[in-house]
Amino acid sequence: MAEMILRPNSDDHRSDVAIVNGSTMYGVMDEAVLDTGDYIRADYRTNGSFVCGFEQSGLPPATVINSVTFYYNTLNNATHFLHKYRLSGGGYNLPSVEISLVSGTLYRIVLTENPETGMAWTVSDVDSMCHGGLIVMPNKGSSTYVYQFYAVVDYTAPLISKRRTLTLTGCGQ
Amino acid sequence: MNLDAAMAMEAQYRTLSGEQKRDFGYHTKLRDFGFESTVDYERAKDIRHIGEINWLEIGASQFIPSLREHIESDKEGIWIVNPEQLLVWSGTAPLNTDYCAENGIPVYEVKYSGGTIVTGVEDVAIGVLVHNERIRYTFSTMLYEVVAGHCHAEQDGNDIIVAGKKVSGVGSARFGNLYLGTYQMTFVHHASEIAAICGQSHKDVGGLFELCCMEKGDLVEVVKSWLK
Repeated sequence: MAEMILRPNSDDHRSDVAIVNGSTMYGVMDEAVLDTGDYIRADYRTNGSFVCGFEQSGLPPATVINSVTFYYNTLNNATHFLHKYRLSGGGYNLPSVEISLVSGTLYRIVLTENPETGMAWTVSDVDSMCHGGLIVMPNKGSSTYVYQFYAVVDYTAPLISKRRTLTLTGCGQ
Repeated sequence: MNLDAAMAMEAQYRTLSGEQKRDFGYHTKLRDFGFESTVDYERAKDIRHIGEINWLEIGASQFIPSLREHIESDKEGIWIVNPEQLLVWSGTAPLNTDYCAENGIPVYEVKYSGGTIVTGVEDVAIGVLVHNERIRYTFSTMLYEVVAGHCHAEQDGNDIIVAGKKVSGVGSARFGNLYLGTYQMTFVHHASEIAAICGQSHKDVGGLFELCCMEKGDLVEVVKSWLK
């Protein structure tokens, strides 16, 4: 098994979140090393949501995708986060699955299946995914920031089959 | 640490995108200027900004008019507010106004989102009105560090907890582009008045004088040293 990090590279959906120190959501969340100087922000009383497209994986189509884990590095005053994603037929899911706290202010959701199909992820799914979150804010005067957002793809590379050529050699030949 | 040079470098970095950002070496450059991470760097910027805001030390009755004036002119400000008597800061929670009226306890409606605060002359409130909302968090942490320098304390969200009791809390509000944090620092716990005004369900509050051997002056002098 191996892992690959995919970072957001396009904005797909934005509702009630402000972009601080940048012009795109993905651009303020795509850094490899945490940068707390730019982020998206959801203010209190508005349930902000964001969905981003991701880099291509470059994996061969026969690759087995074991899971896709989304990480959210935050300064968090939200009541909770829910997972949100674009449906292949258009529109978005009705977010209901809670994103779990890992430690401090780092959240994640591990998906062993494509949540839309309920089946194992395919490379095609990974290369077209648009995911994000719904930030559910409490009724108090505070905000939640998302500093960094990325996906970790856990995969098993396909076995390379070699065609064997058997040469028979016999006596006198 | 060279904050000016780091800020000039950051301004250049923020104009970049994609591969350019990755190739820029932002974090390496920050370390060259003396900042271990962007967390350290952003805090240093916030602390400098706090030091550049005009501030006033006033009585409680002057706070709301001054606050309103700043909001109307979209101006940042910091206030060190000294209660002249036992009084109530009112947010959004219900309170026993009849008891306050009968006992001559003034009620000031700040309209922050949060519970009622009962405070006396031994306590202090600090109001911070800023455009950059994150400064409120930085200020919370700075206050916590002052308390933690005197006794064992914990930070629970915006609250400061000593010996399991809340000694400081923050009321938050937004007025257009301005964010207000009102930091209530309790030195003496007014238990019976809190019960009468807030009801029996109030949080377990304590005073810094009793729990941390801290007096108001210990804190206020440090806060003033941050301001210009």
